[in-house]
Amino acid sequence: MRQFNFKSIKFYSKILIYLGISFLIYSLFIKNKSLSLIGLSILFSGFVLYSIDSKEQIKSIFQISNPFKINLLSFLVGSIPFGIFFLNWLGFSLYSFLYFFIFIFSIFISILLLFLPQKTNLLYQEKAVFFHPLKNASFYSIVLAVLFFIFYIQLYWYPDYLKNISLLFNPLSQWIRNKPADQWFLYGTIYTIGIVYWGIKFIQKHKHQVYQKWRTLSLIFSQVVFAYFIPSIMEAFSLNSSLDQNDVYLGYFNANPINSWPLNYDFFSGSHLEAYVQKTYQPYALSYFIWGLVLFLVLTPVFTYFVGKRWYCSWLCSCGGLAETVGDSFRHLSDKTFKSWKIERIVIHTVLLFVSIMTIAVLLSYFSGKNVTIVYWTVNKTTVFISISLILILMVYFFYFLYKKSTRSIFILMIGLIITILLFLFIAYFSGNSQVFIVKSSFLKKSYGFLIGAIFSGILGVGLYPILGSRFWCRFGCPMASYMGIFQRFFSRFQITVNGNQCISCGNCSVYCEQGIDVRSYAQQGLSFTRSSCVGCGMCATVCPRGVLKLENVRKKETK
Amino acid sequence: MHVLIIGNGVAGASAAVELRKKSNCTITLLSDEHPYFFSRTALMYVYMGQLLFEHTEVFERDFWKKNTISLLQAQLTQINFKEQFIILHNGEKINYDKLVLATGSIPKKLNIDGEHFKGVQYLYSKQDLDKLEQNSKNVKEAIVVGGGLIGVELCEMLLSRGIEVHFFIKEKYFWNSVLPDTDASFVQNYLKQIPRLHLHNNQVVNEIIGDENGNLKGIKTKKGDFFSCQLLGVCIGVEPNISCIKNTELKTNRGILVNEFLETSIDNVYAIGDCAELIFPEKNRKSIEAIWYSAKNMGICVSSTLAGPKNMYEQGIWTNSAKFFELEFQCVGLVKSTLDDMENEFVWKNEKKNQLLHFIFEKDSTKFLAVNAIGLRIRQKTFEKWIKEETTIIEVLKNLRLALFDSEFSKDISKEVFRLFSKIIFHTNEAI
Repeated sequence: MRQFNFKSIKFYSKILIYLGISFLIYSLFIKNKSLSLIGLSILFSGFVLYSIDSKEQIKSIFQISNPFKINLLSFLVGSIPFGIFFLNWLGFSLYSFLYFFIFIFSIFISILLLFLPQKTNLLYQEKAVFFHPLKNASFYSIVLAVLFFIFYIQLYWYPDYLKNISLLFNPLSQWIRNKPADQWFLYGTIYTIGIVYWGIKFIQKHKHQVYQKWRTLSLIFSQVVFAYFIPSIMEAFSLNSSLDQNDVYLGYFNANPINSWPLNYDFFSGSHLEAYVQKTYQPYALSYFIWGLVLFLVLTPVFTYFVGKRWYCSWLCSCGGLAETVGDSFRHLSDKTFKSWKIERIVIHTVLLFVSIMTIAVLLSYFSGKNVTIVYWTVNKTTVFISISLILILMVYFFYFLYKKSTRSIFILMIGLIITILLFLFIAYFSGNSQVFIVKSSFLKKSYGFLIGAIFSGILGVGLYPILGSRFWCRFGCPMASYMGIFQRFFSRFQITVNGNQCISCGNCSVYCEQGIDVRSYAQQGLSFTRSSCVGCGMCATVCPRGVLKLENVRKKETK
Repeated sequence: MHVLIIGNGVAGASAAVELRKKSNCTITLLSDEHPYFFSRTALMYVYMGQLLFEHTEVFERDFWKKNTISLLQAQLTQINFKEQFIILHNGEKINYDKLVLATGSIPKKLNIDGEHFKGVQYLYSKQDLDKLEQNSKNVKEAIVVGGGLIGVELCEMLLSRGIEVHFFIKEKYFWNSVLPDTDASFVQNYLKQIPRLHLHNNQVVNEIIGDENGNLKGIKTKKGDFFSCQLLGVCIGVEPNISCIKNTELKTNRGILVNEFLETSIDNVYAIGDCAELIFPEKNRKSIEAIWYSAKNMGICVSSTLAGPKNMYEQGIWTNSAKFFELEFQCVGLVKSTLDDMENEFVWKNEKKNQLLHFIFEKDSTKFLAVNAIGLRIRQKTFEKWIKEETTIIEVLKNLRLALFDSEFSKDISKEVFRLFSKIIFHTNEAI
């Protein structure tokens, strides 16, 4: 903790800053413009006072930034959209087309400024993360986390508070979706803008690292096209989430082609199943359903076998995309202790179990007493039951085959996981209609959506970026990651190769691992390794000052 | 059995950790610097804000307790080799059955006037780093003396704080005492491009000038030029730290003399790491190798001897690595600064991308001997295998792709290298 000198201006200016921030947070809730203005002015005067007291410091910052002035300019231009966003959030009505234009234009200029020729490649400034007040899990990070929390809570349960910001993106929504903007469009848009902006910054920072460049370009492409434009355009062409002539809602399915079950836990929900067979959505909706099944059952294991789970986690996934770009500044905050690894293994597999049981319950209760015809297959409760059992039994057989290559304890864990799911499947099949496991399946789904979908992946997952690091959700919660992690660990060519005994134990690899893997513990022993949680971002290899690490796909000899 | 290890650097700590795997004896690690083993090479990243100091600690703190290795932070005042005990600064007496000296190095001094002024300092220990943190406050210009690895690291550290740095190098090019001219000038050209770093080659500091308050004002070179500075970093190398065994019966030269089993002249006393001086070094090798890798190997080696049976220390194939700002350096095998009569060389470089490969092979047999890689990552194990198997240079260059270690999607330069090589052979008509 820093020592406070009660006499100094700095102390009082800090109090002013904190006061201003709390006023602002309060005014976010009660939507009082005058209060937020007061908060803003207190904050501003706090900052002015602060800079008077630390004149030397401020001066030295400008001195340091002599080669970085362009970067500073980019930062200043980039803060314009922040300002517009924030003022709208506080309840000011800055959402006319002019503001929208300024918003987009200043982001564009800010990106362009990054690419002006510079004397150095931001060498030192970008590296000194532990001197940065926001990146160091300090008081300011908590403030940032609280702002994230508030945003998410309002997004999920009080969308009215975000109305002004949504309106800001109305022109965009009308243009690509042919619909007025709602809070989800707002969320998708700023999510995408975040990934694009910080993604380009990331590429600029690591422009000499070919792997990082291609990986980030892929993430940006995947977010913009797969996660943002394709679903929006589907809506624009009335192929998803649309009304018929009589204004009857035709249903919604997640049209993002890479959002696979179990990450997309709604994939098998009743409303989605109905949307897949909706006549007006054809042939896209049904193809999407079949694609989703193939993606989960066939492509995911196959891709993971050849390249590890990185093909998804750090090349395509939206959650990963946000973590790798917006969350890049917080990657070093993940916990590296052995204890957190233990917790991680328990929690992430529990979530996988939870989502499997929930999906089974939802599927069986949806099909109980119902025959649904999909093209020329008639599906009922029994066919669902049999096909899921078959898949699970095939998996048991598959893991038994893998057993030769893996360790015993993990094999038991996997078989235990599958047998538990099978058990629940049997209970679900032979129990009543809607009430599959004592509780209603809709309750199970709702609680999964609330606990895992909203709180874990959203509020905690992103909200805790500045405190627990960027991959908190991916590491502890994501069922897709845990599903692929099993394959990666025991049936994959992917590994992190350690170069002989070149390691100097400096610890950069461990610190900059967002998944909290203690890479150094392997590197210093000269052991090449594969960890199920590794998302293959390649940062350990990038920051290694001695060229010790490399991500590779190699044919492994049988090891036990 | 009580094994006492003095010094918890990489040599001492590796010895302790490896010994624990092999034996149940009592192990004590003594250090006056910091109770936990940390990576000395990572200290620069702490100063630059890239790591926190605790990140440089190599093992989690409860690792030592779990493995029952007791850590002791105290200063050593006396060793009694005859009765096998040591005395600490506070008067405490500790008995031992076997003693491992891993005291490391101390930085070399310039031995000129004015080295006592405030602002003149070395960079070796954690204490030096703390001192640097104090000394570099409000510094606008700094001078770093010594064209070696610690010198260039100190330059990078100071530049990261916005300090103008003058780098004084005794030789024609940076690190020319180790690297051959081609490689050294290549690195030198890279360093020239770093903004706010001023290189002064062939310059020797003759005098340090301070004011009446004991503060540093600047330096004077041998040529008589005056350079003003508020901080002077002296990084002209290290020498074995043998202060604690001075005036004892232990045989020393520059370092503590050890045989091939790392035994000193006294029974049950071993010396490893930077402080150890091999009586019979292997061919072409130095008797003192003050680098991380040698220290680690010595630590691992001595742990086997301690647990029994005796284990001979082999220096093995020379390997080293470094980083000059963003430029990585790696070598496998010994590339000497000047070629032997028996040796021939082949250099490939890409100035634009700052990449260089320097191969050394035997003239007659074309046996591959060593490689320097700058700006490129290479597979240590593959090259070691080639050296051991006495592969010819042509075979090495043909299969170069297997030995490159750059990240995926990087450009494969192996064909380019081979093409250049065949071109050279064709022109010189040398029968290979």
